[in-house]
Amino acid sequence: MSNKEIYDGIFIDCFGVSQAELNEDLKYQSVESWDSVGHMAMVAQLEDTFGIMLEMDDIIDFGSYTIGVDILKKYNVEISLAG
Amino acid sequence: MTLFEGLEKFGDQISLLETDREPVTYKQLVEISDEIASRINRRSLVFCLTSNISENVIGYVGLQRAGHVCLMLASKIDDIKLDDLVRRFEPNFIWAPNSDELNAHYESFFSYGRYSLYSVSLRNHDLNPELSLLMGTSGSTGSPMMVRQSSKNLKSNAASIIQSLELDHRDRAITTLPMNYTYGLSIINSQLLVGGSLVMSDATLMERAFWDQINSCEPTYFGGVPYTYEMLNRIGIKKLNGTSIRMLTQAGGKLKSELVAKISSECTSLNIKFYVMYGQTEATARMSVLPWNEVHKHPESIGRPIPGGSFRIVDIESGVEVPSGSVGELVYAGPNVALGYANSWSDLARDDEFKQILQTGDLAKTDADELVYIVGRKKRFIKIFGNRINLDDIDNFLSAKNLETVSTGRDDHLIVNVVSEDESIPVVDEVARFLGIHKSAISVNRIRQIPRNESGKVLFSELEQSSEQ
Repeated sequence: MSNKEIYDGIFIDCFGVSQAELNEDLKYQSVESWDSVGHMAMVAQLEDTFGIMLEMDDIIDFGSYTIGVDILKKYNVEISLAG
Repeated sequence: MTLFEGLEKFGDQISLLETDREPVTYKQLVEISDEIASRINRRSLVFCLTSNISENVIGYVGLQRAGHVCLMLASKIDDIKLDDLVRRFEPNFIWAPNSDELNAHYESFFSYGRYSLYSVSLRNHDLNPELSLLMGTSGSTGSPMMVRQSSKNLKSNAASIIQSLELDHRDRAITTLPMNYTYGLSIINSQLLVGGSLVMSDATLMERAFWDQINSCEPTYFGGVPYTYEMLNRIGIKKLNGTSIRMLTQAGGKLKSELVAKISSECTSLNIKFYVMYGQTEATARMSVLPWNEVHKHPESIGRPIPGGSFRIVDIESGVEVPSGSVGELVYAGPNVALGYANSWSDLARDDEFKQILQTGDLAKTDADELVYIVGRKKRFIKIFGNRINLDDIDNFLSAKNLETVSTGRDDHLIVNVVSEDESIPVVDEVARFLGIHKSAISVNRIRQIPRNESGKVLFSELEQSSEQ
């Protein structure tokens, strides 16, 4: 599975959204399930799956599906949205 | 004697702060809030749909100063629940964020900033003279029962909190909890009664906006439920280093004692006082406090009663006080014990029924230092993210879907024990939707049958063992 597929899978599982909703409009609190609890669950899954540990500022700044892609780059997790 | 009479004396001190807005002084707060309340003539029942913005607090202060009775709800309450409460309580008015949906049903006759007063019912309520506030007991399940609180309850509890936490007018709290939640409201009340300030924030610790407000508005403390501290721990308590935060309080359920000890020691090194407290809506807000300098040594304890209150531990069957060190039901006595419950407007004339004594439903024991430890609950509920969840409600909900279940769990984690191999019903998703909470707080334990004793009573201890495996 590509990083993109794994990344998408975590969003679909944590927030109960569909593949079609995975775009720049998917933001913190844009869907009911992406609240502070959902946020913690997502961070935990990303960390476990990719074997990384997010810095405090990155957890707070992880405000959308697309911002997350840029943040994960810092941890050498490349997610190609084009692909 | 109303809750906020005499606030004028704080004059030019700052009462409310919000990002990108002019600070509100106490003088201004009193002027505007009295102006809002003057739109209502006779003593009324008002639903307050709360959010953590200034207009909401200003309206609440005015309504309390004028002696009205406020029933506190979340502004994001769903329409069905609101309609049900309107039918049961027949409020005269609703004080709420300007909304098209409310406008479609009710006449908005006065607006102040982002809030409006809506006219609802003309019923001439028989309101008990002592009654000031109605607060819901549970979070999401069923129709919430309301607790009747008097201004005397609210004043005495705020005074005890001010004394316990050594608050003064220089203290500045940032809102991290909703105002329709007793613990959140108690922070607002004690700040206003001590002449301190409130930083109004709707952001959570997981948002950049919250940390920006800490830097720009310089609050000195905030309160949190166990989950708030799980978040803070995940982000890193060091994030508070170099900020204006000097104190933190934890209440609203049991936080794991390892985490209490860890947070306490990290806070001490950052020169932050971390207090653990214990309370219930039926006690207006809080009943005990564990002083910050004892938290590290006794992270399992809920501390000692607040000034003016006292605890007794009694045998569940006989009600007789048990010897020190034995487990029994925790009973609290104090002037902050509420008047009683209300399920509809017809209960609003009722007198004091609790008579300053509250059977908490929690099982507890004390140690030689008079510190109290909660060891379990008599009633079938847990707290998830600070909200009471009745476990029987969950089982009833699933039983309607033909599932045989017994729900158990601990604070912040619900376990649904399901007697079925059939995985076609998504139990976790169904329960998450029913409770309105994220599914990460719920797990399913498949069992062959529900363990019961000879008389058919569920053996919860066996269930808990099987779900821990």
